[in-house]
Amino acid sequence: MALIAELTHRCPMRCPYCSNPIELQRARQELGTDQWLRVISQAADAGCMQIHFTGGEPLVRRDLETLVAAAAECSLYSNLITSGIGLDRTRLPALVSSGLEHVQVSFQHSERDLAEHLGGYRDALSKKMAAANLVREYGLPLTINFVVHRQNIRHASDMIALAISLDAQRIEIANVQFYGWALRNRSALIPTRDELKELDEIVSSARIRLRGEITIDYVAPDYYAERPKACMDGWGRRTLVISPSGYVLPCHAAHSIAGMHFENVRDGATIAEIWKSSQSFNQYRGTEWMLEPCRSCDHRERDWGGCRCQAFALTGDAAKTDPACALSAHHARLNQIGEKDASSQTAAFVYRQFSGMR
Amino acid sequence: MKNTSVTLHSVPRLKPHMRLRLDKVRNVWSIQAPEKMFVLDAPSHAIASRCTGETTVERIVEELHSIFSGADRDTIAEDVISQLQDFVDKGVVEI
Repeated sequence: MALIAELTHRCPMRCPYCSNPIELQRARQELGTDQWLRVISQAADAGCMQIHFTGGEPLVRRDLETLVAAAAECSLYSNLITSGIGLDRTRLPALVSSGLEHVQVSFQHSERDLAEHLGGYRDALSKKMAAANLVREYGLPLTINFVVHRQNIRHASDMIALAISLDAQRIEIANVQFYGWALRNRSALIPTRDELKELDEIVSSARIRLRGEITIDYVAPDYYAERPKACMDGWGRRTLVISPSGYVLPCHAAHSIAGMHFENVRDGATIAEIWKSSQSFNQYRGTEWMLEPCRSCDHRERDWGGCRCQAFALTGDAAKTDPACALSAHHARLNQIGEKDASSQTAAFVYRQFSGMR
Repeated sequence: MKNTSVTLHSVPRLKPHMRLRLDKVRNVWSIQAPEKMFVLDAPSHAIASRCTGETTVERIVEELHSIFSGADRDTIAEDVISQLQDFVDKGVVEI
């Protein structure tokens, strides 16, 4: 079981495919240090073995070192998921001595100008490379993450080469998932079938070439899929997410399902209680809630019906089969949307930003 | 390219960033890896905990044979090699 601790939505980067919700939570709404310390120890008691510190950019929290130390105290395997911005010779050594065990640095592109454009941050590439080098200098294992979309997909080989040159132990090639910001910017981001086919070949051959040396994890695209992804490995099965303001969620995007109520750690229930007994975690747990075609499907305990948030976003009902599945009544429409958006010539997107800002 | 085929002469070692940890809530051993975990049953834990970079596969087989004495030695050797090959392919163990 793993806890994804979204410490903040603040971030220097402005990626137009950010997995954070459109309505970003502000600094004054964030949980305080003591609240996070309580959450961390409760998560370990509930059976969590790993903690992923993420955001936003978790480094904007000045108490990150304290939280990492608390995780180490509870024997949680700790992972920092960062843009790399701010990971310098002051912060990294402090994090290492607090017990940090792994770092994931995200990259937008292997070329300087495009990296700057896609992340909306000046000179992002060289700062990220410096951060990644520092991680290896201090002996921590490194994952390099690329979110792949139409504006960088043709550079996948270069991006893999970049990760190898940075001495990564793991590479994550994640097709952009269309929720929140990415959904808003879908027509500028979704690749064509041909581009995806080429990416598949690049990833497959890199996996063979690097087998045993570098792990490559690949997040498959939804819109041209035949079977849905096992989103979160199933609702309430392995993972819980805590949002910056303390909501306990079965996945990052769960808040997008209108009408669902989620517990907040500020309201007093422990993580174990919320995990086991809350209405929200039990709502789509297991297979009992399923409708046809999932209910009698042989794959129901493999893909768990796909993604609830995507089902809700595209059909209006979170209990329906994820339209990424060929057995969904909405599948053909999903394919059409994908092809239509992929053929659009636009490269224009809106950057992630707090509401009310221009 | 590195040699990645496990034989009786290989000397397996858990990669330095892999952590063998007991899940106290469920009372099972696991390997904690970057953004992944592998739950171990008793035999795979017996193998993983011997991946110290100091013991040959042959020696591991001997040790397991003395523990699981009911099993045939060749079967144990086969199981150990196939488990280690899986660990190597997943990037958990190096040889």
